[in-house]
Amino acid sequence: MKWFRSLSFSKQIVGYYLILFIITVSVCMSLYFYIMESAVSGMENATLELTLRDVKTNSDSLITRANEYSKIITFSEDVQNVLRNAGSYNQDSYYIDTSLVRLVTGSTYVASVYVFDNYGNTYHAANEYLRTPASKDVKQASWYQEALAARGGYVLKRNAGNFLQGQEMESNYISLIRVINDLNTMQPIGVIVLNISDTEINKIYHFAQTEYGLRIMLLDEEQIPIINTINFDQEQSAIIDTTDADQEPISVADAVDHAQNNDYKSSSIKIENSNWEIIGFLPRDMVGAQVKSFTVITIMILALNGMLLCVGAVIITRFISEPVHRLLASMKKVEQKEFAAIQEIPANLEINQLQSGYNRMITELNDLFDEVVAGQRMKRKYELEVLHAQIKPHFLYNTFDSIGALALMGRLDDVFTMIQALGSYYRLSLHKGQEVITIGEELKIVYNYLIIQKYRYEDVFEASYDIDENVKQYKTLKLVLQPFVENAIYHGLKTKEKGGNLIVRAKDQGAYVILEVEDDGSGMTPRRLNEVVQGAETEDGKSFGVFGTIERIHLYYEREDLVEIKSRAGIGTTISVRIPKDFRYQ
Amino acid sequence: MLKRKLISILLFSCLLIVILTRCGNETDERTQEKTIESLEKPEINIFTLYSMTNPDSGSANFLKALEMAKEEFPDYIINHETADVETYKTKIKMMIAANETPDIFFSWGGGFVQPFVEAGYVLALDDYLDAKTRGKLKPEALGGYMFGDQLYGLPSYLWVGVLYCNQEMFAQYNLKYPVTFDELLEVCKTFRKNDVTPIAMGMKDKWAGALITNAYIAQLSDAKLSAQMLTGETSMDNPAVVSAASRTLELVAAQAFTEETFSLTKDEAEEGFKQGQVPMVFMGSWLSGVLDLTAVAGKVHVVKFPPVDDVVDENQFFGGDNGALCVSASCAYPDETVAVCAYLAEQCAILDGGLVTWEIPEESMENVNPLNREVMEIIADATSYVAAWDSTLQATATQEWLDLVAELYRQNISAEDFAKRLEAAVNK
Repeated sequence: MKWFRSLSFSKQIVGYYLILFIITVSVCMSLYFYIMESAVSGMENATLELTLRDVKTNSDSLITRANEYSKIITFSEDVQNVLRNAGSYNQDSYYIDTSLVRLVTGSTYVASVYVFDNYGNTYHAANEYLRTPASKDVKQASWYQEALAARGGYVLKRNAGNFLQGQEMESNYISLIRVINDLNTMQPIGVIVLNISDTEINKIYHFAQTEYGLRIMLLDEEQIPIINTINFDQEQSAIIDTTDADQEPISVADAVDHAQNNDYKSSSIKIENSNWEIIGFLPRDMVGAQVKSFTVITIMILALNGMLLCVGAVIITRFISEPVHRLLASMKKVEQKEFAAIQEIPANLEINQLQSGYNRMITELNDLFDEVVAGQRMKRKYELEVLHAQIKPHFLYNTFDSIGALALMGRLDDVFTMIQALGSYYRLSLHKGQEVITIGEELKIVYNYLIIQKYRYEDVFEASYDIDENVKQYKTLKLVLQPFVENAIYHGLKTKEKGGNLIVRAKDQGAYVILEVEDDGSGMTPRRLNEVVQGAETEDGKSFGVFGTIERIHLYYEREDLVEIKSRAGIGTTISVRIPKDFRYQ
Repeated sequence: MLKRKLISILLFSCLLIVILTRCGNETDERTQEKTIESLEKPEINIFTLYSMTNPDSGSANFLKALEMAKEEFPDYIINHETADVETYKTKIKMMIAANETPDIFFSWGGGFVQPFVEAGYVLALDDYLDAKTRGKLKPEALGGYMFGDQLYGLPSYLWVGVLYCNQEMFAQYNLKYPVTFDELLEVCKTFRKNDVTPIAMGMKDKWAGALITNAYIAQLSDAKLSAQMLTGETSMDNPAVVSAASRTLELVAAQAFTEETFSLTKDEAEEGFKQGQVPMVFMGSWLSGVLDLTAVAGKVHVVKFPPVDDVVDENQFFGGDNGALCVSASCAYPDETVAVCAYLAEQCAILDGGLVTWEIPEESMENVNPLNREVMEIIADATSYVAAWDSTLQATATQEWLDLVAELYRQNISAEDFAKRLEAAVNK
């Protein structure tokens, strides 16, 4: 995920949107498919069940009609009388035959009727060719006990339970069988077998399967198909093999299982008063095809929506990222020391604030930068001036003049002392160009300077020192004391007729070392003092003097409270410099 | 943090999708396996001859009781179908013979219900009736439905053949109400002397006349003999029948009945009694209710049908139940069906409040017709009833029986011939 966090803002946003899009689309799609699936499934079930119900209703009503016919025959006075007396005489059989024929030919539902009495006689009427009973004795029929157990109610049998021998290769037919009870005694006196016309059955079963390729089967109690409208092609022909009764019975469950494997939906319903079952098979893709185009459209709409969302996300992101990008570009320039304000383009509250804030910052930075540059420039200037002041050609010429005069006078010891002081002075004050020296060294500079100046201005001043020995070890900016000493001699004492005293002090005062030059010379008026402090041109116009030194000290120590000047005209001047002990020199 | 959240969201949505699709599959399979099933309440089908168009008060009571039963047994759908009396007789036989016996059906007792019981189509009720309900049934009225000590039907109503007498006319001629056959004969003769038709009789409905002959046969034969005659075990050609026929002939000879009786229906002939012009009528006790709405209301006295001297049992009455409700042996819910059946039968009795086969609460008897109150006193000591033949004989035999009785009234046949021809016709 590290790589992701280093991606650009807009790419991240697009990434988030993409993830969001994928999640929502997948949730929507699964929801859609789930709803669609159940809707289709519901439709299939409804189709299947409605059709099955339809078929069942029609089958039931066909059987009900057959049942009514069989009852009309069973309970007709003729049949009852003939069967009651069948054991005693036979001459009525002709009569019963004609009455049967009348009933049978009057109906399109009945294919044939066979009535058996308990004495081996058969009476029949048929709209089709006559079948021969397998036995004269109806009690031999496989279903006789079952019919007896139905106590006068009907039982349904496929092909009359094979009791009536028909032609080979004929199609299946349905037989309704019942024991005939004597109406007076309620005792069985015969059996009726009523065969239902197969055209009527086919009408029901073939009519139902016009929609969606629906297929319908009728299975008898042994799960053997009686009516099979399934023209499964080669692949599916294995499921249920047509009408051959000798075949292994197919269980309904097997058929249903197999059908489902083959993308068929199935449902079953029982025929009333029997164990016969109607099974419907519905090819699933037939119904599904109807909704397929709808699904494609939905997916396309979803995809389009997703695309629009992504494009929208990119555009919206751009609104936010563009100003940020500009800020970023500007910051890049800062890296390259280019402090330029950016053009403010209103975007939104936060971005606007960011832009103006950035611009303010850049302005501040520029100002600060200028200040720093100016300070540095001053520092360099003052340093040059110090250097210049150190070399001081006048001082040097004057000193050499003094030395020459002494030499002429033969005061060789004094010459030596002077030259030594001069050398020491220059060595210390130049000091390999270092800015920082110890206070001891600074005092030595002043000491040597005063030795030299004493030869020149013998009567002008008397120098004295008040030094705390321990302060010599502390460091200080170079030449912080000498200019004030020089100032005291040239501007305080030299102008006084009788000369005066000069006291140099170095005192330990807690966190500071106090360096002080005191003279009792002519002093300064407040105006003059102000001029000196403000750096007005000195009288000779070239003296770097007091102002430059104070400026140097302030610049270097970066504070403005270190130098204090007390001066009164006619009384004298005291200049004291506080050097902080703990200042970190570079 | 964001990464973790994202992953959890992703996982959650995956889970959601899996659950949704899984659910879809499951419901799918379930619907496939589901077969079409009826979720309707269990039904109890009832078939009777009690219809809105049946004028019998028993019908109205039954229909009222049926509505009450529907509320009493809300968990069952109670269906009721009816048929006209003659249709009913044939249809119920066919339904039973086709093993389509209704859960509860109406049947007459004796010979009518017997084949159904013997063929096992009727449920024996004793195992399903609680002792309390069973105890409320009057045992003397159940004879027609007892087979092998088991009860097969629950009757509600009783009727008994009684003689209705016009009090005013009896007072007018200073006559006592007849107590014996001979007194009846004398009363008839006295009225006839005064040009008054003694007994209202419309022989266009042959069964009205047959009632009298039937009543004498009942008096002269005990319950066992009556039953055996109907099943063919004993010949109809026996002294009881001969004697009963000759009593009928005696009354005809005494001109006891309405003139031109063969051109009048029973109702037309009864008009004479209802208008106070004829002093007597012999009829089933159902007539009591009808008389309330006529000119003779409050002026009628009921007496026991005057017995012959050689009556077999004074406490055996001609009459009995008016049919009973039976339960199919193959009904789906025997406990509930019997409960519904018993409820209907008892409620019919309570609603009637008068001549019934159940011991009913006193308060339900409050509205009983005063004539029926008299009838109730007459039968207070009844030990058994002998049913009318026209409801117990087979249809064809019934017709023969009625035709032969008509011959008696025409005096075309002797009592002996009557008995012989009856035997020949009924037990051919």
